[in-house]
Amino acid sequence: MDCEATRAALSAAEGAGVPPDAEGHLVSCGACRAWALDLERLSGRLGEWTAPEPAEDFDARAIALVRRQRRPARRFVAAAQAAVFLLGALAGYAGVQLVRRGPPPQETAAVDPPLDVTDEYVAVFSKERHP
Amino acid sequence: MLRVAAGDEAAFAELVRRTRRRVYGLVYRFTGRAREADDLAQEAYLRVWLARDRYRPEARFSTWLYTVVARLCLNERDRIVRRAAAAPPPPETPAPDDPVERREEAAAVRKAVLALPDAQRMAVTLRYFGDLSDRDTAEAMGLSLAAAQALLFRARQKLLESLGRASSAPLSG
Repeated sequence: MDCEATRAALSAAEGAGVPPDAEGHLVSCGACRAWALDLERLSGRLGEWTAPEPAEDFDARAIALVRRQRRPARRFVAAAQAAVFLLGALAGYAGVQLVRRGPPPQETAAVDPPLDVTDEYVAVFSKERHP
Repeated sequence: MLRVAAGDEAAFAELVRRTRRRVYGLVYRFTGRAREADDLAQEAYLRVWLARDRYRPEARFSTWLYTVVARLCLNERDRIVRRAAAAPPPPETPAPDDPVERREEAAAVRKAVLALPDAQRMAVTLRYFGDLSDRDTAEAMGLSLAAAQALLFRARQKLLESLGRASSAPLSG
């Protein structure tokens, strides 16, 4: 094992001791032993960088953000309800108007004017007399 | 979390209360800036709420939560950079009762962590500041265990170089 592979193995096993396959190299390499020691201390050193506390109103804002996201859904439902109501009202109005006007006038078929009886008689008579 | 998944707002409020310090701390270590950390942490909770029905009880809750946070941070990197360019970060104000050496160490750590590339910084943030195992770090970042360990190795090398001491000794073998 060379230095790179030894340090990679130490890194992968961090917090769980020295991996057996890295022990041989560590015995002979002072630089890697120092690296292993520094790796052990790294976690503690990183812990020196502390984060500030979240703002006091952090929770309230997070919850308000979620509520704002929910509101469009409620608005949508309200708009849909209003649309259904409006359509119903329009349908009702149209129905009332139809009833007030009564049934539509029936269509009257065009009727040929009746033949003049005299003309009909003359036509029949003349056929009989002059076949 | 199961109550949150069912849409229980009170349970969500309790979840925020219990986890805010960790989530905010995680995002703060990734961004290095309190304002961006606040924005991103708020958005992270919104995404937790929106994704609540995708939570499966088999998954460890902290890993699931950090997955949401990690993806948000990595995806919002450009926005963070743009904001940072627009307004230079205020200097860190350490607690006045901290000894000088500790303040210097904290400043050195901050500088070293923030100098890491995004993916390495996120791996370090999850592993050390989120107290996740290598395996959970991999899961939160959507990586294989080997890929996450390779990221962590490179990050550790850089951190130890930046932070100095015997670790900066050159490779001999």
